[in-house]
This record gives sequence, C-alpha cells and structure tokens, in this order.
Amino acid sequence: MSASRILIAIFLIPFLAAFLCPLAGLWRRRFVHPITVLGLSGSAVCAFCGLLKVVRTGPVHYTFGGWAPPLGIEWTLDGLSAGMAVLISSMALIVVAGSRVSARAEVGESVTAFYTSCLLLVSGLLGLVLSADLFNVFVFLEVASLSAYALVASGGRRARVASLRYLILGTMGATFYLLGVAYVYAATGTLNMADAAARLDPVMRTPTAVLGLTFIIVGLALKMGLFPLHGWLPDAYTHASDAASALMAPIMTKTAIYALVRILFWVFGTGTVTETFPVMNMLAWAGAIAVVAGSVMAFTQTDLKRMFAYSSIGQVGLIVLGIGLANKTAMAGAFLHVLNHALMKGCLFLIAASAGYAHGIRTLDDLSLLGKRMPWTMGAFWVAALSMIGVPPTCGFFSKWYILLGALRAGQPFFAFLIVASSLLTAAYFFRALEHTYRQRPERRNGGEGPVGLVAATTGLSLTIVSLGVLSLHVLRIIERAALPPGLQ
Amino acid sequence: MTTEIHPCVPFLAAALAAPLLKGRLRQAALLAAPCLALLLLVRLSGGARWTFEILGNDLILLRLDSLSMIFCVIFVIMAFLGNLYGIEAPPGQQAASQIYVAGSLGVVLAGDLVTLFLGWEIMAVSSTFLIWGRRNKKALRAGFRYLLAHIFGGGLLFVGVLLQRQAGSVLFESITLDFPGMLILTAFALNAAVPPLGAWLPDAYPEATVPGAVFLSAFTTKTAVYALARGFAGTDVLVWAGAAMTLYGVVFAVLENDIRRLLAYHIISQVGYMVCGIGLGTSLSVNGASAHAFCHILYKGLLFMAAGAVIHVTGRSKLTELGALAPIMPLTTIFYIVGAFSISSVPLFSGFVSKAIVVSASTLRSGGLELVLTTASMGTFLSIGLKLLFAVFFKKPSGEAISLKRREPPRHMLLAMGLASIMCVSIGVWPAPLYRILPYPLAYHPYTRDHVIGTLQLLLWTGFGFMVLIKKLEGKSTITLDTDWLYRRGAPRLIRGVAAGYTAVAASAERTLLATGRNVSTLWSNPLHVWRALSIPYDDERRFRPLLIVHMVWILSVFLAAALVFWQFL
Amino acid sequence: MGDVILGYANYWVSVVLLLSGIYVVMAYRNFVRKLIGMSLMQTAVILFFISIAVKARATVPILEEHATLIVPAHYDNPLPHVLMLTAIVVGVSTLGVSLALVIRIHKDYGTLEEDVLIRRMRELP
Repeated sequence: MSASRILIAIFLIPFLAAFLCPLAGLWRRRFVHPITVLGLSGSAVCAFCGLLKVVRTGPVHYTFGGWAPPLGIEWTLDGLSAGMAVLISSMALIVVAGSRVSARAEVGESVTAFYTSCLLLVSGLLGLVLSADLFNVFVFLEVASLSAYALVASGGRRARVASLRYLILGTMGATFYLLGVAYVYAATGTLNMADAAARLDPVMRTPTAVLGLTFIIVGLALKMGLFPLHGWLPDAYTHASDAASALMAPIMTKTAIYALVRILFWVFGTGTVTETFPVMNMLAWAGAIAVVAGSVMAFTQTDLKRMFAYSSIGQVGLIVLGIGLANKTAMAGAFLHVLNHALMKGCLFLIAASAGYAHGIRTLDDLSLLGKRMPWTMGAFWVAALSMIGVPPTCGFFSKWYILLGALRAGQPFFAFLIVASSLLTAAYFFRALEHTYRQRPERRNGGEGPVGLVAATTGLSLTIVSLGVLSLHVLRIIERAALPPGLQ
Repeated sequence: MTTEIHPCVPFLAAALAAPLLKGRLRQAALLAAPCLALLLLVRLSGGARWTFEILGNDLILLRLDSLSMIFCVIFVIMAFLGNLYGIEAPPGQQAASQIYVAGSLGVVLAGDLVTLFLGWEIMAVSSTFLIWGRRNKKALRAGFRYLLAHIFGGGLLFVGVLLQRQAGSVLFESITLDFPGMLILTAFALNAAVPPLGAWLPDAYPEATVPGAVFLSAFTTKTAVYALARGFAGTDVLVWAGAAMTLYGVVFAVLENDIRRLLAYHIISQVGYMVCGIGLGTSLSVNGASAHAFCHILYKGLLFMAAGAVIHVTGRSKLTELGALAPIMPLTTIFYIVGAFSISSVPLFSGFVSKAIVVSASTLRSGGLELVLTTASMGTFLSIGLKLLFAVFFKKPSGEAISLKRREPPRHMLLAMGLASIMCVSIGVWPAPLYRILPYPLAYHPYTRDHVIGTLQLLLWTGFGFMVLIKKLEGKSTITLDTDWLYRRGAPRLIRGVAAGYTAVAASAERTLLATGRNVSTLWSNPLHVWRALSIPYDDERRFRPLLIVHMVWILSVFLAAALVFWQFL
Repeated sequence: MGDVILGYANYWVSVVLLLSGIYVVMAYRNFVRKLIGMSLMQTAVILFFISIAVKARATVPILEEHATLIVPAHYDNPLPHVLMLTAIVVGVSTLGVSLALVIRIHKDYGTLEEDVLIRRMRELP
C-alpha cells in the first residue's frame, strides 16, 4: 500500500464506517459497536503504519482530485500530524472498545446515533490533523465540533443545556477562526499552508495579516479551553455521558492545540511568532495563568468529573506554557505532555465511567465506596493520579521535567516555579480524592468491579502510562527529530 | 553484570507477591526477600558501580562503598525484622512496606542525584499507605499532611537537582552549598526531620498502623542521614542543627502523653546526634553517625515494636490510660527494657558503644557541644528509660481498668522483638563486628574505665532525679485534651509549639486554597460585578452558572487585548 | 471621510453585522434569539469573504459554454464563493443541531429564557 493511500485511509476508514453505522443500526443494533471498533482499529493501524513510514523516510503528501497544490487541497503526513493521528485513533479505539457496557446503559435506545457521532468526531479530528489547507481545517473542525455537541447532549437533561451553550460558544470560536482565515486569504491569496507561509513573509507587518493572526489565535484558544475562554468545558465534560466525556476529553482540546501550533509555526513562521510579534510571550503567560487557575479551581470541586475537567483546563495551560517558551526542550516537553495527558485523562474519565456504572459514584464523597470493591480501578486511579502530579517513573513526570528544563533554558525561573507550584496543587486535590478512597464505609451496596471492558481499558492505559514513562527518552528523541517546528532554538 | 541483580529487586518481587500469594507462601516470600537481598549485597561487597545511560546523562544505579554498605546492611536486617513483625498485616500494607524498603535501598545505593530523586519519591508515596492503612479520620488527615510535606520536600529536591544538572554534573558526591546545593540540603533536612521542617514526623508516626510505624521509624530519617553524610559531611550548620535537635526532641517529648508520639520525638533527638556527627565531618564523627544509625534502627524498631504490641493488646496508646502491664505481658516488658537501655546508653547495650563515638568526636570540637549532647542523653533516659517504662508497665493505671483481648502479643511479634533484643545486646557486648563495617577504620574502645563509670554515674543521678520528680512527670491528660480541642478548631496559636503550628499551617493552607479557588471562579464568572459577587456568602447564589454574556465578554476582551498588543508591533 | 466609509463599505457591513450578532447573543435571554444572533455572526463572515472576491468591472464567476477566451480579470474570484458554499452548509447544520437541542430543552424544562433555565437546572437533577 503506497504511503499516500495509507494517509487517506487513516481518515477514510472511520468516515465510511460512520456512514455504515446508521445502515447497520437499522438492520441490527448489535452490529453498531463492532463496526465502530473495526473502523477505529483500521484507522489506528493505518496511523501507526503512517507514523513508521514518516519517521523513516519523511513526510507524505496526498492531493485531492489530482489538482496540484497550491490550487488543489493537499493533505500532509509529517512527524507531528502522524503522531497526532496515532494518538487520536488509538485513544478513541481504547475508549470506545472499553466503554461498551456503560455507554449502552447510559444512551439506551440511541446507540446508533451515539456511535455514528463518535465515528464522525474521530474522522473530523483526523481530517483536521492531516489537512494542510487552512479552510479544510475549518471544515473538519466544525465536523468534529458538531459531533461533539451531539455527544455532549447524550448525557441527560442538563447535558442538553450544556451542549447548547457549548454550541454557541464553539461556533463563535469557529467563526473567529474563519474570519482569521479570511484575513490571511485576503493578505496572501492562497489557502495552502505551505504556500501561505511563503507569501506571508513580506506582508506580515500589515494590519490584515495581524488581524488574521489574532482572530485565529482567539478562535483556537476558545476551542482548546484556554483560561479564561474555558467556560464551556466544565459543564460539557461533567454532564456528558461518561463514555462521551472519556472520548472527548483526551482528544478534542489536543487537536485544537495541534491546529494552533501548526498554523503559528508552519504558516506564520517561527520568526514571526517569536521575534516579530510577542505571540509566544502572550501564550506563555496565558498558559501560566491557566495552569494555576485551573489547578486552584479544581481544588474546590466536589464532583469527580468536574474536578477532572478543571484539571484538564490546568493541563492545557501547561501545554500552552511549554509551547510559549519556544525552545526545543520546552516544545518537545509540551508535545510529550499532549500525548501523556491524553493517556492520563482518558484513563481518569474511564475510571469515572467505571465507578459511575458499577456503584453510582459521582462525587468525591462517594469515592469511599471505591477502595475495597474495585481494586483494579483503584490501582489505575493511583497510577493516573501519580502521573498527573508528576512522580517518576510515570510518564507525567518526564514531560513536566522537560518543560521545566525548557523554562530554565529560556531564562524564566518564575515559570519553573509556577510549574512546580501547580504540581503541588495537583497533588493536593488528587490526594484529597485518594484520601476519600481510604475511608471506611458501612457495607451498603453490593457489586464489585466495573465491567470487564472498562477494567481492561483502565489497566491497559495505566500500564501504558508507566511503560511510556520508562521509554520517555526514546519518544522524546523521536519528537525532537521528527515533530518539532522548523527554526526553533 | 547481567547476572548481578540490584538488591532492590527481591523487595519489589515481594511487593508483587504479597497481594497474589496467600498464607504460608506469602509469609515465606516476605521473609525470603531480605535474606536474598543480603546475599546480593554480600556478593557485591568490595565496591561496585553500575552506570546506565539515559538522555545523554549517566545514571549510576548502584554505587556500593563502605558508607552505603553499612546502611544497606542495617536496612535489610530491619526489613527482615519488620516483615516478621508484620507478617499478619493486610497484604496491601505489606506490599507498601516492601516498596518503601526498595525505595530506601535505591536511595542509599544511588550514585547520582536523579536516581536518588526517583527513590526519594517512591519512598514518600509508599510510606503514606502505612499511615493511611489505619483508616480512621485522624490517620487519613495525618497521612495527607505527611504526603504533602514530603511532596514539598521532593519538589525542593527536584528543583535543586535540575539546577545542579544545568550547572554541571549530577554525581552524588559532596555537594557545594550554592543555591541548588542549599535546596538539596533543605530537602534532605526535611526528611531527616530537622526542626522546623520535621513537624511531619511527630504528627504522622503515631497515627500509623502498628507494623507500619516500625518501618517508618527506621527508613525515612536514616535514608536522609545517609544522604547528608554523603553530600554534606563537614557542613558547619549541621553541627548546631543536630545539637538543637537532640534537645528539641527531648524537651517536646517530656510533655507528651501518647507512647508513639513520645518515641517519635525521640527519633528526632537521636537523629540529632547523627546530624551533629555528620556536621563535624571528621572520620571519627562520621563513623559515629553511621554506627549510631545502625544501632538506632535496631533499638528504635524494637521500641516501636514493643509500643505497637501494647497498642495491639490493649487498644490504647495514651500513658494516662495505661499501666501495670508488666505482670500481664512480661516478655514484652523485658524486650522494651532492652530497647530502653539501648537508647539510654547503658553499658552492655548497643547505644553505649555507638552514641559515645559521636560524643567523643564532639569533645574535640567544643566542650559546650559535648555538654548539650550529654544533657540530651540524660533526658532520653528520663523519658524512655524511666518515665515510659514506669507509666506503661509498672504504675497503677488511673482511670478505667484495662480490658484485655489477649495476654502477650502474637508469637511472630515476640519473635521479632526477641531477635532485635538479642542484636542490641550482642552489639553492646561485642562491638567489633559493627566497627568492622564502619565507613572509616575506627580505633575506639568504648569499654574504658572512665567511660563506663561516667555513664553509670549519669544514669544513677538521672534515676534519682526521676524518683524525686515522679509525680510531676506523669503524662497529663489535660494537656492532650487541650491540644485536641485546638486542633479541632484549627486555631493557629502556638501553644504546643511547632506541632500545633504545623497542623494549623496545613489546615489554613487548605482553607486558603479553597477560598482562592472559589474566588477565582466567582471573579471569572462576574467580571463586572466583582465587589458584589465577592461579598455574597459562598452558597448556591454565588455558584450560579455564568450566563453566556460573561463568556462573550471574556472572548471579546481577550481578543481586544491581543489585537492591541500586536498592533504596537506593526 | 466619505471615502473611508464608501470605499470600504463592504467591510463596514460585515463589521456591523458581526457586532450585531455578538450583541444579540449577549443581550437577549431567549435562546432562539441567541441562535439568530449566532447566525448573524456567521453571515457577517460569509459576506466578508465574498466581498474580498470582487474585482473591478468583473462579472459573476460562471463559465459559459461557448466562451473561448477566458480572461481571469473579467471574472470574480470563484474560490471564496465555493468556500462560502461550504461555510453556509456548516452554518445550516449548526443551526439544525441547535434547534434540535432547543426543542428538547423546551420539552425538558419548559422554558427557553437563560436565567430561568439555569434556576430550573439547579432545582431539578
């Protein structure tokens, strides 16, 4: 199979499966879940093959309809997008495969619609990640977002209000992004990323290009949940069904971060965003504020999923801080943290799904039911919590360490201090949760571990967290070689 | 090198085995692990160094020389005794204690700071379980504070190591006292329970499980002592910090009513001798610190085992509620006496041959130092050798009579205590084998006429003083009540000194964090009505979901701010 | 002054529409009206895009069958038109999803006013 065919297969397999799903659902509802899993596994396999090929031989391109760029729409698979594609498809596969039982319990009759939305979400995100055309990114961003709105609404009454608010805010973000693309098009006359990069250089210091930059940044910042544009995130992640939040939390915000990195560094150019305009400075400060604010607000939460949501806000801040420091070390650490955080948050939300399904655990107080009855889930919770705090040898430690090294290398010890402080805050709220699990409770409910799929998924993810930690050096080497933006110090 | 195994590995294997095996198999695994580790150590003795390359740095996973050897040996021995003592503990606890031991060995054998940091964190997390295992509310809170204190220390260590790596190498040898060095020193001092950083120790150790406390008493502080010996030997500030510690522990212990809290304060006191010896920096004093660490682990473990046995049998830990246990549990009493005599440096017991080395090294420095150390020694005998012994085992109990579940503690506990006692006495009687494994060659003879007579004199006078003051030194239950009341109200007034202040600091930090979080949420939700919003009490009214207008306001303001900033650079 | 307004008339229209849209979303409590505001915002962007495709003295970018000589300067830029077709579709789909949600919310809570809705959300699980 040629490389460009693999590229298109990554997107096409789940996309076609998304069309197959409703048809299968009309026939027999039992087939919906297997089709979803098959679609996602096909995508994951192709993504892995694509990543291997890219790491060995270099970027792969695919043009639609035979129209050569810059006129035609081009898709590119390079180190960064291949890594993201692997991340998205694998996490989606693990979550969907693991949460079959709890999803069916929560969603009930509308399984078909649920899994179709899942497949559309994943295809949309994959298309975004693979695309090398600015408007194409907008299209897939909206495809993914619309599916996300539907998925968020799957959680009950409150979820629908949360979804509507998410919809309005998300559309505003996308509108801003589109407006930014309009300005860039007005300034350069092209939508192809590589071409626009070449043409933006002479016109960068015009109001048009600057406004384009600003609108794109604000639009994508809203999509990724960067404080203070995070308002939609806690409600959406809390009230969505457990399976849906487990699917969305690891991958949606990360894809928006990817889009921002891609456009800032590959379209506007490293020089522009680091020297000409203080974009990286602003991002670093925004990230620093977000890290502290997210962690502090997470501390006040009593609902488990809401705590995880605010924790995500903090971690997104950390990643943006790493990006904003704009040197090789911090950027590699930030990319590694994208991977690690997807694993950790996916694991945590799956744990919430498992605990919610088995014992109705929703708040921190309920957690005292968790300890003795769900030992496997508890173990996974400990691993994920230690990784979020940053205790070696879990993977979370290494990415934070690298971002810290980057902060010191950039001569910003204050950011380093903030990162350590945020780790302490993270330790505080996670250990509060874990302390609850050690409480003794009178035996009120019966039932033991969660469903097999969820237990397997959480255990698998926690093992991955630890082994990825041990292998961090290799992963960092690959990132530094293949995925960093050009022209960084 | 492929056939050589790191001495941590048997303990990690035991940690995995404990939840999976049952009954005799599990017991066998727990007892076999320390023996295997000792064998591995013996095979490696004579100096070994394993390097491992990661990320362009050299990590030295194993570095065995005379200084690390003595600590490894005593850790392994203590692990055996602790495993024996806790052989009936829940498997989760056993697994945690094995990981804890593995972490300590990792730290002691580490040749570079990164490996040390790895072991440090593993120790902190695993030991918390030994406190949480008790599962009552006090233990949960104490464990939480313990963990936060250690993560804080770990954070300091982390930043120090990072800065050290920036500056040059991360080899774990003598560390200079520049800014990263000071951070690392502070982190080590926190684990060694140097006041005021050491407030976590008397706060958390009394709340631990019965077998868990035995492990806790041995490993964290002595690992820190080793780290200080390796990295900061000869640092002057440690001399005075150590001397202060010896007195601090003794003074605070005098007023205590809980057995294990009293013993915990004495850990601080004895570690003071070791820290002082390290600070003096001569080969004699470092020898003394190492010897004292060796003996202290044994007799402190023994004392905690005996105290734990008392708690296990009677269910009580307050001195005012105990008494007259000697006729009920005679064996335990004898073992306790061995431990008490060891800590008090009674001739023929282990403390006599080890503490004296440090004290004699201190005479070479200044007479005042020797006086302080000797005074502390008297105080130790007073507290543990006399007051505790009397109050727990001999006096008539005031208050309710003690209802017993059983007479002596279970056989395995007695066996463990017995083995520890035998070791204490044999080291006291024949110290040569101990002296042989000390880091530097030692020419010291403890059983000189002067030394024996001098020590006996001190002990006799202290005993006499105790007889006279016996009424005044009984643990006052009122003080304990006062402290509990204050602690429950969370009032941060320093009446009991650092102990109450520490829990108060932790509680107020938690409250501040909660208030900050709520204020951040409120401010973000009400950017235009800040004053009004912040003055409403935090209930549903203030926690309302922000209207969409608020989100839009934030979006627009962020956009305007960004646009304005970028406009300047056109 | 007149030059600024008339010369950039198309941009002013977009700006006014965008700000109106944002204002409507912020000011009205009823969700349906907010959705109308959202649509207004999207329309503003679409008009902006199309307006930058215009060339002086050019015609609609539709190719006639018998056209032999194609001078690009005589036709408006077709690319933004095409892009905006896609964008309109996206907007319509978003509106469809949002209206479905609105119907469901009205069935669940009986109201579409935002403040009333939030209060009812707090009371009912």
